[in-house]
Amino acid sequence: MHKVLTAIATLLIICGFKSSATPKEKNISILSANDYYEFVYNKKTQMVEVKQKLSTSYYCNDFRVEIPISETYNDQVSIDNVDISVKNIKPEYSYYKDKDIFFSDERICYFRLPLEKKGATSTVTFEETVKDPKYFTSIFFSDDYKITHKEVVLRIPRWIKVELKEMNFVGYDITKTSKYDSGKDADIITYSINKLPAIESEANSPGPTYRVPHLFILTKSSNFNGTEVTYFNELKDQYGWYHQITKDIVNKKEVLKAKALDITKNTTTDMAKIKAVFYWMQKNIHYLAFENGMAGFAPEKADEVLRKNYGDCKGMAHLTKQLLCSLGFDARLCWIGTNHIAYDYSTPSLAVDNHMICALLYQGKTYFLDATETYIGFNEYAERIQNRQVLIEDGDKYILTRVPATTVTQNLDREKRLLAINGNDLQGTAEHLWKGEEKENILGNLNDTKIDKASEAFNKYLSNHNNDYVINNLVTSDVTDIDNDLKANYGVNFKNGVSHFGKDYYVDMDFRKEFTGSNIDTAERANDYWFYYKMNISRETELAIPVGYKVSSLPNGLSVQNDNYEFNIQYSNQGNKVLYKKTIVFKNPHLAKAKFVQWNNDIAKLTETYNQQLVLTAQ
Amino acid sequence: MNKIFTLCIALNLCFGPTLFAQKGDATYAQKAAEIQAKVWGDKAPEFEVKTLPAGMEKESAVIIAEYTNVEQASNSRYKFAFAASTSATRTNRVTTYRERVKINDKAALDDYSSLSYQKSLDRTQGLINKTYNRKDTYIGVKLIKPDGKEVIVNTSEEVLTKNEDKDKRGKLAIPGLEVGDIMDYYTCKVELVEDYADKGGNSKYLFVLGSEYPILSYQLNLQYNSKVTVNYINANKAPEFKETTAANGDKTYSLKLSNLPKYDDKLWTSSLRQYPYIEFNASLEKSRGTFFGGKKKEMSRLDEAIKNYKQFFELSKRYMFTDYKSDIKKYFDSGKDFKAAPQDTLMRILYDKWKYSMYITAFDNMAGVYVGTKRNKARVQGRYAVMEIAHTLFDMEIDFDVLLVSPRTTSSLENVFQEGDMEAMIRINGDKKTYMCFDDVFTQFNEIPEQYQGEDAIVLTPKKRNFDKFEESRATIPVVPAKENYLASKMNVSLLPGNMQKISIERTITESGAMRGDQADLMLTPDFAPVLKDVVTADNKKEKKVKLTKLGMEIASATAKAREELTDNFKNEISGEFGQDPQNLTKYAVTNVGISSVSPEFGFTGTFEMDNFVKRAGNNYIFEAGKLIGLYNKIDDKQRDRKIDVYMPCARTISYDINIAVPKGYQVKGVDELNQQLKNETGTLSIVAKVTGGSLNIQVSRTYAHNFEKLAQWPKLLEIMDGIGNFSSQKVLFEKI
Repeated sequence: MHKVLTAIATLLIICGFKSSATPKEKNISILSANDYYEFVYNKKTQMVEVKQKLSTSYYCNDFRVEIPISETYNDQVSIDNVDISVKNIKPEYSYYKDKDIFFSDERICYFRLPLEKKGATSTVTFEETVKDPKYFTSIFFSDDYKITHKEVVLRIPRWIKVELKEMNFVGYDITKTSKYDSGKDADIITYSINKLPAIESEANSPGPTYRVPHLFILTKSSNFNGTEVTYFNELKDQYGWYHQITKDIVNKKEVLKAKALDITKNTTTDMAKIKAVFYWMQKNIHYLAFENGMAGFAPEKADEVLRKNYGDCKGMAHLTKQLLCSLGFDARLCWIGTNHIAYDYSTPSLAVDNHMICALLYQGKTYFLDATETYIGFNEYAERIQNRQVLIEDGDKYILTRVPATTVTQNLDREKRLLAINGNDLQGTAEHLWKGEEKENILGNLNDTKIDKASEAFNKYLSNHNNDYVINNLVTSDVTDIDNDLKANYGVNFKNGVSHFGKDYYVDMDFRKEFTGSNIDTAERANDYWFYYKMNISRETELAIPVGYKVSSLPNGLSVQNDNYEFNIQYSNQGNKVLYKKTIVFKNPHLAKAKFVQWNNDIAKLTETYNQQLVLTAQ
Repeated sequence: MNKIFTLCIALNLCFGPTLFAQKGDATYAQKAAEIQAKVWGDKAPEFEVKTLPAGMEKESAVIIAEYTNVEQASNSRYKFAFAASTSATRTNRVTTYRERVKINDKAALDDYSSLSYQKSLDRTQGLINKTYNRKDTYIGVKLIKPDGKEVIVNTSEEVLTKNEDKDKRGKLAIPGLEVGDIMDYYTCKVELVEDYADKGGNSKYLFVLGSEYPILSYQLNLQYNSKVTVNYINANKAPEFKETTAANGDKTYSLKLSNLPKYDDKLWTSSLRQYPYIEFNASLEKSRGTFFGGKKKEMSRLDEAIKNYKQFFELSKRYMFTDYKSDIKKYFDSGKDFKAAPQDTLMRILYDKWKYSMYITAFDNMAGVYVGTKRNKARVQGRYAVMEIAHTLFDMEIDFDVLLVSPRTTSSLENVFQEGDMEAMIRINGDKKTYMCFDDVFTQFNEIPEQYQGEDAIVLTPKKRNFDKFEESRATIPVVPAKENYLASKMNVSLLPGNMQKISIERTITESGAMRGDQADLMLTPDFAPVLKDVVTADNKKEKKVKLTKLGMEIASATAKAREELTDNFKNEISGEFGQDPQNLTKYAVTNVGISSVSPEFGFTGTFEMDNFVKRAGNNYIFEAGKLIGLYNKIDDKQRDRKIDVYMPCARTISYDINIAVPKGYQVKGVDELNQQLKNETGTLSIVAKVTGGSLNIQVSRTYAHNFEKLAQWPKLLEIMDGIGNFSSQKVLFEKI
């Protein structure tokens, strides 16, 4: 027998334990980063290009590790060279995959970079070319790792007009210096950044343009040796480019008209026709995201979207428009930036918008139709586009307006229960009503569930997954009807819903207890918290007092009101019944970090109020 | 001549790829058209059905018909390779899958809305004398609209998610697909593989006879030329193939079934034990490298498996192994003590030494930083471990057997089909049989992991003085009784004086046997490595501390970082148990690492606060005492309706010793109602509640007696489950005196 060789023992271990990065924020930092950008004129293509050299030195603070490095590119941005200070690393190149995108021409260059021991530095330099300054829209200063020092240098020849907007600089150590290079007739602008924290990725956060320090680049125009090119000097230029892309799309009008007539064959009024088209779009054309070169900006032909039964937002907006137009309505394409983006059209740029919808101009009013919101009603608007600036096509001109800002009344979730005590059970009836985005949420989930499981899934939802809360005789309104509110009526038998001790009944009047335990960890959370939409929850429970009993203790109510939200709970004894009423309203779904402590206090009050019971005593 | 030859190669290099690409595209389109004509040309009546039977419209989708056709021919070809003339095997294989499905809802529409496939993959090697390895996939889709109109989908609307010369991956969003349509599609993979090891001719299939949707017609047709040997099993009452021989000598295997029901999720099932399936293997005659590649058809699969293990042992003689025997001797003060030591003690030391060597030393000797709970999930291949331990046992002249077993989470022993289907363990024979299994670092000496308990095993008993020669027999691996697989929770609970709607819980958990489910998440290697080291090293022979190297310091830093994450794991364990996050978690720690059978229990503790257990009611408080056993999902009506046997993870006991301090000035009501006693063949439930002094004590214990119950026992099992379910929602009242 011989002593084992470690190598052999190692071979036996098949767990695939990789020397992968453990939490990165403390172990790895960026010691220095130097990003250089220069606007140059490519005489061959006769285009202005932006040459970039992005050099980052990663430092190992505590223990050796490999970190993933990646850089995206596409038809407009090429990676010309990758220099890695560690030998024998070969970058891989492939299409970028995202579960929410069916196909994207975005590509990714990636590799794993070793930091070979504590104190080691590994440097990566990407040399890239942006082939058209329109696509050069921003320079983000932060990274996945904290940065000790970073320099961002822009060399901007005076033959090109570029505006740099400094975004989210407050609170960071960023200084700017400028000098003029008379030899090259160019301004050299340098941003020196010290001690920049890592980007924190957290659910329900505002988009990065709201919170990460960055430069928003607005390339206005160029004049190289007398050749003038206007980029997005004003909004009309940006619209002009969009209009150029969209105006010449040729559709098979007869196909579209035939379909529109078929969709609206059972309608008589204009509004019925409009709704029929919008709801048909929502139900029959499914959203599939394509990002492919110019197709990332140009809508597909409407008749092609119709033939395929799927499309991205542009294709869906285009088909909605063309169907309505074929019926004689004035429908337009609209460009819009959702609330993920901090900018608006006061700063013309391709970074301003990320979505396309359809506008209907009808009898002096403008309605917006976004068929990608599959179950939202006509003239109802999802949080992400509410009150956002919208650019509506208008021939060679454009219309700049806003999608209406709706209030909480749009999104109602109301439940009313009439209950009585039977032994230890609570029995009675309930009626439920959902509107707006609440309705969209429920209908979306129901319709995404297999039909043979949908009833069971809805029962579980209504019973809060509590098998003691038995739903019976459930009757709903048509779950395919987007135009009307969603309603459900059902019987309730809450087994052991009542506690009986001695002469007393103890009853919990609130079955759902929304937001229990919704505290925010103030030590951990870095970003503001954005709820998905404005919420408007209403609960009412009416309990019949058993004959021979009286209310001996009525729980305390609650009233919390501030600019963001309201919690109201009331109990009242009304003759032979007890009435419980609760409303939870989110007027502003954006909860700023500064309000987290207040939020936690209010959630504690809400929880305390929830944890009370009504007492009925035998007379 | 040579010059001309060189020029030809150069031209090929310069123009070859372009010409090939153009020709390749044309060839692909031509081939695609041929395949489409053949597949759509098949007018089998089941693929012409346009109307579903009554009631089927309530299904999300219905597979009207599906088939899998495989045609394979493998032949020898003379090749010039390795500077010599040799024989390679060329395999042509065409695999066609066709499905006709009625889409009844949006969920099914989403399921079928796109097809992803490896359009082409060319790994052909060599410039002139090529060794082919090409796989092309062709697809076809047609839609049958509710009015009967057929629409052939233009598959060239695909996008390529990988588009390299020799590697293309396609993705097609099905245009025009709507709810109410019938979608009839196929994928056809055409392979041309040449190799010198005959592996290109091998293929394995697992045909599960069912789906998430009901299937009206199901067919398998597999055809092989005479060079190919076929083995297959029909498990769990799956029907037999119809075997025929074609005029050219090809063998065909076909099966036609109708009206296969959809599968339904049920609690505690073992799919490959309870649902019919066919496992199928095709391989070339002369291949000996695979599990069932043998010529000798009279040899059963199990015999083949045994032979394979024997060969593995025979082969292993060539390798070096740790000298555990000498190592064990060092544990003792003298050779005399070593000889006098009981066999169980020696075996325990051997096992723990092996574990320390494999999971601690081997990792620590590597140049990287391997820390964190991820390291706890490392696995060692059982048969390598068995081989190494067997060497030592043989050397120590210990009477032992090698057991081969198929885990109860996979196929039965009679249905093992692939080499990886079986695991190996060791049984030490003596006055009392003991076991060595090799699942992970936390598996203990004489611990049989739950997936092997109660299973039939092949016993390989080594012949005397012959390490790799065995006698064969059968045995059943014991089921560990419920009393040895336990989770015991002790809780001291009090209402906070300042806020009586909030409670404080001091909780200590002890886990034993198969119930040790939290070890990997709550500890790091440095927590248990010293304990394991202690039990394999005699007290007076402890090694001196090694000076910390630079790598050692890095590991220490990484460990400190990983330890910060353990806090979250302790919180997550509590959240998972109670369905809400703990507040103010303190005093959390592992109390016993449970790394060795010397001290087998795993224990941990923590003190925390929680809301939502206490409701104020006037001057009184309702305490939801039943919730202290954690989240318990009561069985719903759908789960109650059961038609298959019950495969539970293990026999087990779960107990709670709960002490709730009665607040001063209050009395408890509702205590008697908590008490409950249940006992039947499947288990027991005991709940004993009483007030002693100022404390309400609730003793809850439930036992599931077996790891398997026949369907007939399901109602009895439900009695136990309902009993604990009822308790989980019970409350007591703290009434103001």
